[in-house]
Formats: sequence, structure tokens, C-alpha cells
Amino acid sequence: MIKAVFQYNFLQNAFLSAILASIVCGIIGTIIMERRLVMMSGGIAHTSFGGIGMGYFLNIEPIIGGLIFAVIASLSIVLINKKTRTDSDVLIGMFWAVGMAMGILFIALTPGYPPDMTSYLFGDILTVSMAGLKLMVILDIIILFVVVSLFDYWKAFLFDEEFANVLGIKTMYLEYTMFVLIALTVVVLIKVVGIILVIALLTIPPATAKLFVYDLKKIMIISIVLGGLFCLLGLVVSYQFNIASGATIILLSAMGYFMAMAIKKVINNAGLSAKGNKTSC
Amino acid sequence: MYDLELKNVNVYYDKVCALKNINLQVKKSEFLGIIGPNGGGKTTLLKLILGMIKPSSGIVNINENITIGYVPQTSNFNKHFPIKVLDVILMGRLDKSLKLFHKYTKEDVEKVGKIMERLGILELRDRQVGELSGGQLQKVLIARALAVEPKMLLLDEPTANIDVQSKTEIFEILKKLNEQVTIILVTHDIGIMSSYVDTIAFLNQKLYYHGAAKTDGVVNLD
Repeated sequence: MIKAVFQYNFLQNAFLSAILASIVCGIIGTIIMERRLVMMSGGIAHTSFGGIGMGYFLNIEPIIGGLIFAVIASLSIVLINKKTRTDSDVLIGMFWAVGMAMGILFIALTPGYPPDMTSYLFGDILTVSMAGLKLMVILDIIILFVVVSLFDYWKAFLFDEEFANVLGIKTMYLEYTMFVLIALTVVVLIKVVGIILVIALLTIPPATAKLFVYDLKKIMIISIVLGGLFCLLGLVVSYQFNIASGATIILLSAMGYFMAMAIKKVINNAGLSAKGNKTSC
Repeated sequence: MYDLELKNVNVYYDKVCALKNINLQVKKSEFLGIIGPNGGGKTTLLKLILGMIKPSSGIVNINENITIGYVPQTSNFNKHFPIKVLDVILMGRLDKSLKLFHKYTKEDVEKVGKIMERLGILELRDRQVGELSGGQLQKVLIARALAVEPKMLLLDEPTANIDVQSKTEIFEILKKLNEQVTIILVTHDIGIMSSYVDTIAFLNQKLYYHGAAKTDGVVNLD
């Protein structure tokens, strides 16, 4: 396979997109986990399906349509939630289903032979185009810059928004920015694991990292490494056995999480018995 | 000249009245304790002073030169957040305008170190917030508020869910701090508070003056 990577462009794209995906997953996934925005992210991902359908209908790059829908959905959910006090849970459910419905409607209205949507729903890392890759690079740079350059503020905002507010920090802007970043992240991940599987890749690496470290920055970095490992391994396995890449990546990630839990238990037990020995001495 | 002055302040949430015709004057270095039942508007009053909500009518005057340090209820945030004590307290040193690639300076860390030493929590500096006891967490939050270098300290239920010994420790700390800063404390725990504060007021929508504990009362009522 290593030879094939050098030979085929599509494999190079796949490898690069796996790495780009894991970078944003690690960073934004950690934020999503700490802010309990998992379902929100799922909602944003599914709403973007409407944009992808619109892309086909208007004959523009579908992923750009998805990007527009994702950003609008994330901001709308927050705004409506603030203005009307409707539970964000309810709004997420509405956007989730309406987005999917619009996608299906747009596809049905698109003239000609209907496009295959499975690569958007379940991801197909082997079909990432050069244009798609370029978009991923741009989004990755934006996300990385915004999070890294304001890291101390993000930390304060995520830990205690109220106190940050009292300090005079405009937390409202941080909040909206966070939702835009989540939308961008979802778009980066769509081609890799697909709309339906996005939330797994956003949650499993940080959840695994949090088993071992308790520092925001470290969780992010370890999540990136773990995400990269899961994605690349998933890519290799799916290529070798000719099975769906998105599903393979998710299942490998879940296996990784349960293995990590077992390892943690072993470490804890070893630690306990070591302490036990000391006290008995 | 008062540090804080509220004149005929009313606060309504939609049509529900949270605070009614509040008149309050707090002078420099005063230690004011406000007690009252849950839902009596204590938190609303603090938020009003902090500028987080606007009064529906009336005037809130705060001396311009005064920085306020805020100690929230410990139940207000996610205790499992992956952050260590030092980083929590450093939050108080953050500037309100966002600076790209902000880093806490050596001076920030030194100042925070001194505050921690004063409160006797220096050895907690690398501990996770989730591992702290109620009393320790309260001291960390007081340290964070002090890191702002405030002239006035606002505390919301600082003795909720902590043991008697920690309560006494916290009030001893506040008593010392009161030599330099004005303190407004909101609680439903009247027992221990009454022997430390200058003035007590009772809040249940309206503010009632209970009298001065040590000095002349400055809480005026309609």
C-alpha cells in the first residue's frame, strides 16, 4: 500500500485529508465535549445535507452549499434559542430534520440522473478531490488560528463564561465564533466520515484522551494524535479489505476507546496495589 | 461619596418583579451582608451591581475608579473541566480586550502566587479543580477575584456546602481583606455572618435594613 500512496493521487489526498480532519477534530471535538455540544454538532452536520443538495441543484460545489448551511444553522440555533427561550434541544431536532428534508427535496428537483449521496452521508475518504482538499486546508488554518491565538480566552470562556463576562470580555463574540468553528469543522469532516458519523469522530478522540490527561491543551493534542491514528489506520484497513472508510474509522475509534478504558483500569489497579504494598510495609 | 449607590431600582423579568424599589448605599471599606430566602432576588442584585443586567427603572451608580472582583457560587460551573488551580486564578489577570497570542506575564504569575500564599492555597496550585473540597474551591475562587486587584469584592453564597471550620476560615480571610476592600456578601447562612459584617440587610424583593453590627449603618430604605 505504501507504494500505492506514492503512485496514486487519490491516496495522497486521502492521507492528507485524514490528517487535516484529525487536527480540527482534536481541537473542536474537545471544546464540543466540554461544552456538551455533541447533539448540537450532530444537528449542524445533518442540516448541512440541505446545503449539499442545494449545491447539486444550483450546480455549485456541493460542499460549499454544505458550508453555508452549516454556518447558518449553527448561528440560527443559538440566536433563536436566546431570543425565544425555546430549548436548544428542540431547535436542534428541527434543524436536523428540516436540513435532511431540504437536501432530499433539492436532489429530487435536480435535473438529470440523481447523484450518489452515500459519500456525503457516510464519507468516502478515497474520493476527496483536489478542490475539496484545498478547502479543508483553508478551514483547518482558520480553525487553528482562531483557537490557538485566543487560547487563554477560550479556556476562560469554556470554564466559566460568567466570570469572563464580568471581566469585561465580550463572551458573546466568543460564543458565536465557537459555533461558526463547529460548523467549519463539520464541513471538514463530511468527506472523511460523512454527515451521519461526524459526531463519533468529534467525541471519541477527546473522550479517550480525557481518560489519561486533565489539561485542556493536552487533551486537544492527544486527541489530534489519536484521531490521526484512527483515521490513517481506518484508511489502510478500508483500502486493504475494500470496505467503507467512514464506518471503518468510526469502528476503529470506538475499539480504541474501549481499549484505552481497559488500559486505564489496569494502570489504576497497578497503582492501587503499589500503594497497598507501601502501606503494608 | 459612596462606592456604590442604588436609587429606586426596580428589576422585572418579563412581568415578574425580582427587585422592588431598592435603595442602597455602600461606602468604602464597608462589609455588607445581604441575607434573604431563595428567589428573593439576591443573585439578581449581584448581577445588577456587576452590570450583567440593566435595571428596569432607577439608577445604579458605581464609583468609576472601582474594580469589582466577583466570587460566584461554586455550583455555577462545570467542576469536571480540565483546568488546574493556577490557571483558574490566572483568569483574573485576563484583560477585557482580546489580544492575539496572549500569554500571562511573569508578573501575573508572581502576583497570583502572592495571593495564593496569603490565602494558604499555594500547595494546591497544580491540582485539578475537580479534586478540590468545597472550602478549597471557595478559596480558589476568592483568589481569582483578588487577582483582578479589586477595590470591591462581591460574593455569592461563599459558605454554601462547606464545613464549619472552612466557613470560619473564609470569614477570617474576608475580615482581613476588608481592611483594604469593600465587601458585599450574599447568603442565607446568617449564623456565622453576623459576627463579621458591619451591616446586615434583608432582601426579599424589597430591601430591609436590619441594623449595624458594629458601626453606623449606611443602608437606607424607603
